[in-house]
Amino acid sequence: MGFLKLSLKNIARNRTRNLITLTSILIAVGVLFSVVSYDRGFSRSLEREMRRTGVHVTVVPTGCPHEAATLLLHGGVVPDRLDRKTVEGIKDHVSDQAEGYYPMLLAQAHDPRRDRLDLVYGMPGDGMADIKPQWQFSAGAFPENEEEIVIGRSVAARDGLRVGDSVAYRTNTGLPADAGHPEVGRPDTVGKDTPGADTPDMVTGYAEQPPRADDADSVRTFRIAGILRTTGTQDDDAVFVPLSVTRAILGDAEGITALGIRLEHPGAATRVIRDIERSFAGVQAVTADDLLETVAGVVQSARVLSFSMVILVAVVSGSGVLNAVLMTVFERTREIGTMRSLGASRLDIFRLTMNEALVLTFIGGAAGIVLANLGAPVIESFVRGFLPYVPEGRNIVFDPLVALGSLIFSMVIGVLAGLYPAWRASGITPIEAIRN
Amino acid sequence: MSVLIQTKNLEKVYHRGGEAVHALRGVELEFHKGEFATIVGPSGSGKTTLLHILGCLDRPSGGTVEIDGISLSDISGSGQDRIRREMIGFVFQEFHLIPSLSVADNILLPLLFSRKEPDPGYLDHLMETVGIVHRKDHRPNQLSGGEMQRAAVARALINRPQVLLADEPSGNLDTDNSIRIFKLLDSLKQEGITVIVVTHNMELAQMADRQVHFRDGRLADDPVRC
Ligand SMILES: Nc1ncnc2c1ncn2[C@@H]1O[C@H](COP(=O)(O)OP(=O)(O)O)[C@@H](O)[C@H]1O
Ligand SMILES: [Mg+2]
Repeated sequence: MGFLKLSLKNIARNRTRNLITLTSILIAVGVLFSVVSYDRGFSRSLEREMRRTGVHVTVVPTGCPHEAATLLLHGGVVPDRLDRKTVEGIKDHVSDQAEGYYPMLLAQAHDPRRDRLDLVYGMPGDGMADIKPQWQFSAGAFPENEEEIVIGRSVAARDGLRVGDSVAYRTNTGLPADAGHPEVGRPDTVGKDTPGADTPDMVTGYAEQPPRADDADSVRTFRIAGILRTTGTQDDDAVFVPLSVTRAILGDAEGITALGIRLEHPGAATRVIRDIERSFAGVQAVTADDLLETVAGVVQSARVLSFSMVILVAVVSGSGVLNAVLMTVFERTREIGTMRSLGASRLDIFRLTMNEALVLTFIGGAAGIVLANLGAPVIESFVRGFLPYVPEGRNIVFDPLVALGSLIFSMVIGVLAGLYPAWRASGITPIEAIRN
Repeated sequence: MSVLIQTKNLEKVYHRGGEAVHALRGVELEFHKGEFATIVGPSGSGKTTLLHILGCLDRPSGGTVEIDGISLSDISGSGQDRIRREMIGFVFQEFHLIPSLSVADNILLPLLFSRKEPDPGYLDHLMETVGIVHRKDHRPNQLSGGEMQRAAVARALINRPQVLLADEPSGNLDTDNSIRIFKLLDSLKQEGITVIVVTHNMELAQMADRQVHFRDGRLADDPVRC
């Protein structure tokens, strides 16, 4: 028989009282475990969700109001451009955190055949799926080469366009993005190759060669590779083309409208934004989704609230343990004195008593973790009810480290609650026990 | 026979509400190795006080006690613990068995504190000697008084002490069981154990090699009827 067995036998003697104590520990540790698990799971899910949106930070020139900047992702028109030097500077600056760069260039382009002025959205051809991972196609798919484009649902509906149809744009007119109607192009240049149609370099986002000045007024045709489903955003009214095409349309080989940055850790978006805005004049940066920012704030306050609750429950259950163990010490004064007379040292008695507190908190803690796990779905649906936004899927995922941490927390309660009773018990002299 | 226990001018004063109670007044005693001695005397004469001091459960107010050459007044609290563990076995009038433990576990309990591995052979031998084998898995509350006291004697012996101290071990037992316990205690001489027993019962006291008479915290020269 060891110290532990002796303590266990003592605990078994006061079943009801210890069961109540266990329950309060169970609640404290269960709540702690749930809160930490949920917090971690939530952050992970949020990060995962943010990773699905390919671009976490968008840098645009200042001058456009903040709202316009967020609109950009959905196809707003921004007058100014970021020059090459600034863009390279930013890339250099965030190279530690960035996973990919997506230069974007907006233009208005004239299709002489339909006589339409389209909002054309240029982005690296092979980066399109990264920038717009949420896209769904009603027909077709992402472009596979520099001659293919994607069009929004409204554009397709308005002009009766289908996958495989072609669209023609006048290139190299020198028309700025915010200019009015372009001149009517000459039809004899249709289909002429433009050097600007080269595959854009994913790293720099620039065409290898700038379009030549004498290509002015040429017209190029593009095949519609995909038509989007209705998105409810400005994407419905836009045309998406390889970056080289907007360069050709604008006759601009340098500037971009916006630089999208994909981060290794999307959670760091706010920090990256602050950093960029501090270091570069004339630019402003926004996150891909302000909602996620808001959610992070709500989660933060929920976290503070939950942890205060955990501390409160821990104090209550800790006093419960203290009280339960202290009572057994008083009840067993005689037994403790007998053990001292049989040769038990003060430390032995201290240990026996402390063991009781630790066994209670260990069992209570372990049970709390198990129950919190079993009850995770209930907790999830409960939290879904009062948080404005909760990522899809299971957010509470069993993490052995969190479980271990919760158990240690429980044992710390045990140590703190056991100190006083153990000290009292170890002070019992053999005489006072035997005399009575 | 060599002297195992020696007290010199032993004094004990209790303080109760500002009033001093002299429980022991200059007690000079010697006990030999393997001796069976009884201490008799009227209630309140200081018998229990003496036994507690000999058993390292209490400290004297004056004088000295030596056990096997070790002076008890010189040792620390943990030193007293060690003497209790290694040299002394205690038997109480009220048995003081731990109710949540089986008889066998009760007997083995002192080994927990002396950090010794139980020796099953010795446990069986002890339980046989005291006649409690058939009760080894029972709880104390399932035992008769005699059985409880025999279990308590076995517990006092598990650490192979040099001295066994018993304070009115038959106080809660009928005559037959009392005689049985005293015979058991008497038999311990054969193993060289010094047995010192406090009792009220003069007939039982006669079973010992020697009777020490107490009166008012002193050794009485004449036998006193209690
Ligand atoms: N803890 C104590 N505090 C005060 N007085 C005590 C205490 N223990 C014993 N006494 C007193 O000391 C005297 C001797 O007691 P005790 O040794 O128990 O005698 P006995 O065992 O012979 O009956 C008695 O007068 C008793 O009242
Ligand atoms: Mg007495």
